Amino acid sequence: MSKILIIEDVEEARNSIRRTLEMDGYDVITAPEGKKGLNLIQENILDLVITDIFMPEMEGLETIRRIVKSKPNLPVIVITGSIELSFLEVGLQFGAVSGLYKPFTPEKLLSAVTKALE
Amino acid sequence: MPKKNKTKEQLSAELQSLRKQFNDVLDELPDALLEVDVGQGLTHMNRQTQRLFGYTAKDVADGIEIPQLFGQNEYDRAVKIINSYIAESQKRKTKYTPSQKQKLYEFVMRRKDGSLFHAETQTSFVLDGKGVPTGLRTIIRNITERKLAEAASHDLSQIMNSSPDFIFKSRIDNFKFTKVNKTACDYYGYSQEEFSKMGIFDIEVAPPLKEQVRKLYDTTPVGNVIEVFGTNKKKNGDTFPVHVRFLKLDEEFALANVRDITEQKMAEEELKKAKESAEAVNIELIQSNEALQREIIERKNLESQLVQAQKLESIGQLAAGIAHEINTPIQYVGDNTRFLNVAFGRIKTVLDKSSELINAAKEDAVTEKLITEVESVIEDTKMEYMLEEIPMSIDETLGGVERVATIVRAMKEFSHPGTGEKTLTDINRALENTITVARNEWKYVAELVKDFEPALPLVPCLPGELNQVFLNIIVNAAQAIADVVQDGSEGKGIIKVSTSSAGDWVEIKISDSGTGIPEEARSKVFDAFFTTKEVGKGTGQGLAIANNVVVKKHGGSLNFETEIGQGTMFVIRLPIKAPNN
Repeated sequence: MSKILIIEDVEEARNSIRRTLEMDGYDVITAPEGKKGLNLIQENILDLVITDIFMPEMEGLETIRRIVKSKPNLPVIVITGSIELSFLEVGLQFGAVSGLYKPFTPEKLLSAVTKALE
Repeated sequence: MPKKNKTKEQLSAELQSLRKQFNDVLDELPDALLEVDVGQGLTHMNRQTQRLFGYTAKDVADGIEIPQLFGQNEYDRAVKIINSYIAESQKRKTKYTPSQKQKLYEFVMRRKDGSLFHAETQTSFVLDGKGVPTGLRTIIRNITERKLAEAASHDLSQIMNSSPDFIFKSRIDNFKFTKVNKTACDYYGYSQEEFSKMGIFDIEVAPPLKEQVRKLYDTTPVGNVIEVFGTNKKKNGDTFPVHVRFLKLDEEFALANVRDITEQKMAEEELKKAKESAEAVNIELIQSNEALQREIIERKNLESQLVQAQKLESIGQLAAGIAHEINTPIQYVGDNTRFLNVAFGRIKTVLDKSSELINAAKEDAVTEKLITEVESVIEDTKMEYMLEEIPMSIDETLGGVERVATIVRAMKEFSHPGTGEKTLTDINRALENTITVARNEWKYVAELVKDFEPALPLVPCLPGELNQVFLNIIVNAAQAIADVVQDGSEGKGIIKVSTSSAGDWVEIKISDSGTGIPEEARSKVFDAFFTTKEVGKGTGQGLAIANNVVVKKHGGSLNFETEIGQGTMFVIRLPIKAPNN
């Protein structure tokens, strides 16, 4: 069973994504922000990270950069509620394997997860 | 009765009585006598003078203006003479004495009926105790007869030749010159001989016409003076405007005293031009004033357009943030609803299986296998997990819907254009809305602490414009904090928004733990288009508009306190009673 880390600052959003993944049979752990997420990456053997870009300028992106640096083989999916297209592109440039704009359907999320885990 | 015991009233009465006696004496004089006071004008006109000028005692009582006693231009000449006399005396530093002999001057005077006569005047100054002239006393003699006599005696040459004016003696029947003075010969360029073959209408080129002069001659009594204006021509063809005074010497001869009034005309012309140009300037002033008024109106329109434009701009910026704010709850509300749908399916599966068990129990046919099957369905559908997650998911969904509703409501209230009239507004609610719509601008960099006075009085204001002010200041606060917080490793900053009331004022304080405003920027904070922000983050209009809205439109005040590295606090004060405007 693949283990996925969700980094998302909004608790409700974190829970809903967690439920979607759990219902599909994934083992999920969560973190409310980047620093805690990075700690969990060190403490757990993970198959995938899904992270929100918290702040347009940096925090999520900085998290991606550090994950990619410390675990080059750990795939990262970036999600954002922003309507500005550039943010996801930047996320991808930082090393994320794919990105999703909110609101996305559970099918889209699951399909992105499946793809990332291949 | 000793003098010192006299009352003011008694003294005044005595003085009046003396004055009357004096006037009576004056009235008995054979000469016409006028008294003029520097301040009061004509103060006395004795009976002889009244007779001479044709005025009645009633006319005198009603008041007579001095200039109307003089012929054309003669009053000005008299004033000039008097002024020059005073000036000359002052120059010599001599005091006037009543006995000082006065020069004789001749003037053409005007009667009440408009007719003119030659007069000789003798003027002495009335002096105060210090010898300063306070008025003048003039004796006037009608010398028309003497003039006539002089003319009649044909002994005019001396008088005529010493005159600075051009003097022509002419026949009344055919207008021919019989005598012309030297001044005229020199000026017109004709010799005495040439003149002797000419007449009035050889030098007169413009009105008066022959018929008119003829009529004047016929209707004017001997000894009277007629004034006319016309244009004369020199031998060389040059023309010039003239002022002519005819004296009808007798039925045969008339004496014309002619003056070139070119300079006077030019002065008049210049005065007219000056008046016209003054009028033109005035018109220009009025026009530029109107233009200024239009400019002011346009500026006011522009100002309100600018406020609207900035509002739209910031709503545009906010829209992205608000989309972000709404996207998140939409995401989890959608996810949760789908989850609940699946959950319902699973619960139904469990219920269906449980129904089988119930039915079996009723028929007393419960088997071990059935129980195991039910248990395995409960296990397979992860009922324990579902029962834990479902309530949470429902709560979060309801919360999400409420969140979206709040944002939409705040957005609606924030961006409501308003009626353009001041309306009583709950400032706490307005701040709440602004904080909500701007949430995406501050939430990543700051905690926002609210300290609102619960029973804050309603404030008459333009809510849309005030929301804009709050937004501008809160966004500035967030940006100032972002500059301090940087990557967030040191934690977030604080924005504190508080309201309170004191007397007739409501006070709103918005403080941040940001960078503070650099000293050199402090005086320019409220200047339009002044910004320290990087390109794309601000156009420098936010605080200029805030100042305009708070101070000009609401009669309030907008101030700030700032300290580098500590942060900035903006204080908005709004009057509870709207100022009259």
